[in-house]
Amino acid sequence: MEREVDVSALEPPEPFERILDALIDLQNGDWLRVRHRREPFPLYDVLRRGGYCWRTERQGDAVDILIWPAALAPPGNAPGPVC
Amino acid sequence: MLNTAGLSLEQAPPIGVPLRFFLTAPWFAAAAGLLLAWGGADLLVTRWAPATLAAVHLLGLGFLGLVIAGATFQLLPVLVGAPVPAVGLVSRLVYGLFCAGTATLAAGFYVSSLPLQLAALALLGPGVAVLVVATLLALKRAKGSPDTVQAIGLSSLGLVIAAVLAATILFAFDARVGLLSLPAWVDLHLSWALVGWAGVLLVAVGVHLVPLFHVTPSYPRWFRHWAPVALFTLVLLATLAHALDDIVLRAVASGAAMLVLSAFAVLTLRFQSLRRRPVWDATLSFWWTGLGALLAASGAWLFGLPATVIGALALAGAAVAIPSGVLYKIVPFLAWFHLQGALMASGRLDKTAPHMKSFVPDAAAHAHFAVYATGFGLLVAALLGLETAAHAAGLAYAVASVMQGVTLLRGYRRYCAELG
Repeated sequence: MEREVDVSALEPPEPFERILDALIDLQNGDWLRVRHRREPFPLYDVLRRGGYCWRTERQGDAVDILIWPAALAPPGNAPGPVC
Repeated sequence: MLNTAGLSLEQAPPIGVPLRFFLTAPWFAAAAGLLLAWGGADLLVTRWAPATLAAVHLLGLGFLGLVIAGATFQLLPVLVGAPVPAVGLVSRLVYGLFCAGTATLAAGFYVSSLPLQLAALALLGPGVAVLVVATLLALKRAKGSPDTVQAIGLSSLGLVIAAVLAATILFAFDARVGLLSLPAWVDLHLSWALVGWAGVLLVAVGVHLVPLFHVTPSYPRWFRHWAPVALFTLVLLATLAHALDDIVLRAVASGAAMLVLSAFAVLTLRFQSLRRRPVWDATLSFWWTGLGALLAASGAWLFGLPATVIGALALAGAAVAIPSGVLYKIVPFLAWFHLQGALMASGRLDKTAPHMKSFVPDAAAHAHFAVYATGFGLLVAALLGLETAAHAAGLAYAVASVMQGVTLLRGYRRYCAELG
């Protein structure tokens, strides 16, 4: 099931904190969609170390990041995941 | 745009590198405040008074210079993806030379000792050289943001020119030559230091930091590209006009430079009022006061007010308030960022670092602003003729700076305690 967190209006480092909190709360089989205003490069270090895969989609000025545990299949067969 | 790829935990310099500068800077401003508290309105009568020269350099080099140097080491990896080489050694050298040089220079001005001023030059010259060479080496390895690379390069050149002009003035004093044209040479030194170095850097970095930290719309691309280049070119043009003795060209170039700085101030005020989450914090109070002072300094220049008025608005207003606003965003962010990095390095993804505001409490930052704003208000009153306000203004500046120094130090201690 998809969970969503919108951090696009938050000041640094709140987006980072909210995303980590949401990942900790993620239930088995769930994945996370993050709505952001920029690509969160520092987060990728953390995801890689924490055993998560992600896929980033740019939609105009907005950025969507789909995150899921590396042990799971990509949600909706997301193409081009980075793990 | 901002190269946030450079914000990776591996690329960031150790927290001690920028904090060494940020935690020391307020104490130089406190010393400047004490000089004003002691000397009162005497410091505001003429810019040639020994105590005035000492206070100006305590603020310009001791406060502003240290904040800029610390921010340079921290932000180069972030803005252009290029860390400063041997950052530990280089930053210690710059820190030592800047601190010792500024203290010696202020003492040299205060007691009117040319040998002390020349000794300060022997410290500050190498300090500037190390900072500029390290910055240029980092810029050479930059991975993106050509506009920012160019602007930081230009501001470094501005610092070199300001330092060379300072050295020329001191050597001329020592040899007792060319003293008749001294005010014009000092004006050029001031233009390169405040506009060619600090102004160019303020615009170049501000157009990235404001949207990032205040969640505002982005500055127009043309402004991000052209404003720093235009500022530098206009100071160069004013210098050329001085060499050619062309008063009109010099006035036009200086006025246009003021216009560019004013445009930055107006755009920033506009964008900060459009931020996506309209929460007010002390950072914004400092930014708005600093930008207001910048606009007032431009207006004072336009209406031909005395140099002491323009200088006080630019230095005690803009050059103290804006960096203070930046420090209250950057210092807690760095504490949080490095703690989070330490947690991740230990594999603790289930635990997050304390909230950023726990390192610099809102109440402390607001209290600092209230005292600072009182001091600035009293200073403006003294400049407007209420001479007795000058002593109180100096005292308020000193107290505000001590509050800032203590608040930032407490933030660092909290970081150390969390780190265990």
